[in-house]
Amino acid sequence: MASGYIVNRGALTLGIHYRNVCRTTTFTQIREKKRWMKSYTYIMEKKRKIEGTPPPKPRSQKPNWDYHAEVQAFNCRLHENFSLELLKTAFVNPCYIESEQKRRQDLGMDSETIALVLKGNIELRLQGSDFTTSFLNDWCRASFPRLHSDGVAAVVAHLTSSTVVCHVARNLGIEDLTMSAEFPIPDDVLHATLMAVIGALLESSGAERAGFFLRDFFATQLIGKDLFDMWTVVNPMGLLMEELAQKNMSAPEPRLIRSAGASTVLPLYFVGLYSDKKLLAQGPGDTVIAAEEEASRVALRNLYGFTDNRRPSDFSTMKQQHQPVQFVGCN
Amino acid sequence: MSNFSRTAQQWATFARSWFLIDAKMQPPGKIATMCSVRLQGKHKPIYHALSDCGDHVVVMNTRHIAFSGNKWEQKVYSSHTGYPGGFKQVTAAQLHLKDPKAIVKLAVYGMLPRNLLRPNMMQRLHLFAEDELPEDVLANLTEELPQPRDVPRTLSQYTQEERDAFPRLWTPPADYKMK
Amino acid sequence: MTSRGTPSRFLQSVLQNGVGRYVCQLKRISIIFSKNAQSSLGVREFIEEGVVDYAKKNPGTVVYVSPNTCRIPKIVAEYLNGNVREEMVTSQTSKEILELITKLTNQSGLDIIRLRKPFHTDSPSIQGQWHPFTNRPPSIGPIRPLP
Repeated sequence: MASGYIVNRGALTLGIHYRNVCRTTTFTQIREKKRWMKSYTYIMEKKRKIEGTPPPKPRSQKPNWDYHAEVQAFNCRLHENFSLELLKTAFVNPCYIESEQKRRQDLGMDSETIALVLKGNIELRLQGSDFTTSFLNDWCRASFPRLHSDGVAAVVAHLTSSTVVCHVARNLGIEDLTMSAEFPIPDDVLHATLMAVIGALLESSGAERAGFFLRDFFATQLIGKDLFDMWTVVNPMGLLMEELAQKNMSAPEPRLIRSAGASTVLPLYFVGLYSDKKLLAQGPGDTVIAAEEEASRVALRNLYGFTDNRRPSDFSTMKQQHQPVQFVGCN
Repeated sequence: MSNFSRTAQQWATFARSWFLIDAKMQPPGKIATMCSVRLQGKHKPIYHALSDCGDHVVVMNTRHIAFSGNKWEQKVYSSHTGYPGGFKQVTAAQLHLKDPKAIVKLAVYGMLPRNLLRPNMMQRLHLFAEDELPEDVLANLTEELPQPRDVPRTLSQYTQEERDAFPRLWTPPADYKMK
Repeated sequence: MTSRGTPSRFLQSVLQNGVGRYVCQLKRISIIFSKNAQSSLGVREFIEEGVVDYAKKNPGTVVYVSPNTCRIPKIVAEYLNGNVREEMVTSQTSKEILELITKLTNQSGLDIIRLRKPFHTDSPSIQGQWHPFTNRPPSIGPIRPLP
């Protein structure tokens, strides 16, 4: 210490700042252009180029993460009364349990101490997906009573498809909470987790609340969607003829009613469909065949009540019954 | 409401119509105003200056346009060839004899905005000197626009009874010599 | 830069929020501050006074308070759609911080960039969009010049 003190004093008198790193060596801080910086950044850049960008880390491995508080906040945010045990179980995927057990075995612990007390979400996700399908089916039938059963099936299939469900799950913050073997979480795991969450809600709050959940987060995805974006109908004319035959109306007669620029490369045709000398629908197209198909699609939309100017679905009835539950996130 | 698919709706909204105007005994300025509005697309509710939404206009009978006053003799069309002494001036009558479409074309050209779209709009103007149109143009037409002026009837189109029933200011004496 | 060159989006909401029920889009907020730096004075005051009230009022948001040796205190807000916003709160008072946090709570987490139009609709017209044959009297047969 004494020698350090002397060195310090000497340094101070010389006007240079020394700092004791350990007893024998001293680190000198100099203010200058850091000429080593260029090569250092260059090497780091090269390393990054060879290795690629580092893989993304799940949020749970970053600082500031309290799983219990997160789950509780998830519950409050959606204004639901999940039982927290069930909700936590819903987030545990079987692939996570497997990988976790394997990791513990690799660490060389004996099998008694490493036994995991986690339960997978397989039952919940089965319950959830069954309930989702049946509820959405009923909801579609109630909202579009005139829609063909194939159409209902197509709409439900669209709503329960991987893209829609994963989009909903990602925007509800389920990705952070999901326990999965891989990261980024694959779509099928995310799909299963959201279904398990619905199953947990069904278990803890009953079918009515789960129905509201589905209505608020899944049925709203239909807003702004066209029927035939979801339902691929190859031959709309054939379908229209079937529908009209069921209603005891005569078969539709296509008639060219308008055209513009017929001999140019940008023609426009309007075809009208007449049944019993009454105009069912008209549709535009760049060829007569396309216009006829479009007209039959328009007629089908009108028949099924899936038009753009239909009355909006009612999403409001729940608000009166509901009061948000107060919780304090503990940290 | 039309419940068209989005692609079909887009195609229909931005399709170009073909208008037909009969210029028989019509003032070229009036014809050109109608043409200019439709060539620019200003008659459409979807008009926007940056979207190319002009329509096609077919003008027939341009040989039979009618100037009022003494415009045939006194209206002068000037041009310059670019060479020294190349300033040309012709009256409307002379120009019309040379090219029966030129007067309507120049009138429309002058009424269109002076920007880079003007040549494209002019390409959508189809002029025909007589009332015979080719088949491919006839197939395109969507609407015939009403004429801005009533076509006057010539004396030969009046029947003898109508001529006799026509009110007279004075009765010519028997020895009156008609010029 | 011209406005056309800047990034832009349309007016939208996350998952049609508010159509069914309103979900607060702020899922997590971390307040990072220093225990003794002068610039964190307001943040420390806010943590003493307001943070518990805030957490009670917003049960759907997880609040983390982490003391750290830093000169610049920060508020990191994470949203449900995965967006993260960092706000510097250097030398701000407790009241200003509360205002900032309230603002962050009420936001949707979508990028704050130019909106192309201040309105948006999925069905632009109730009567149907215009096309060249709207309100045009019907015609029989092809258009021909009158004889």
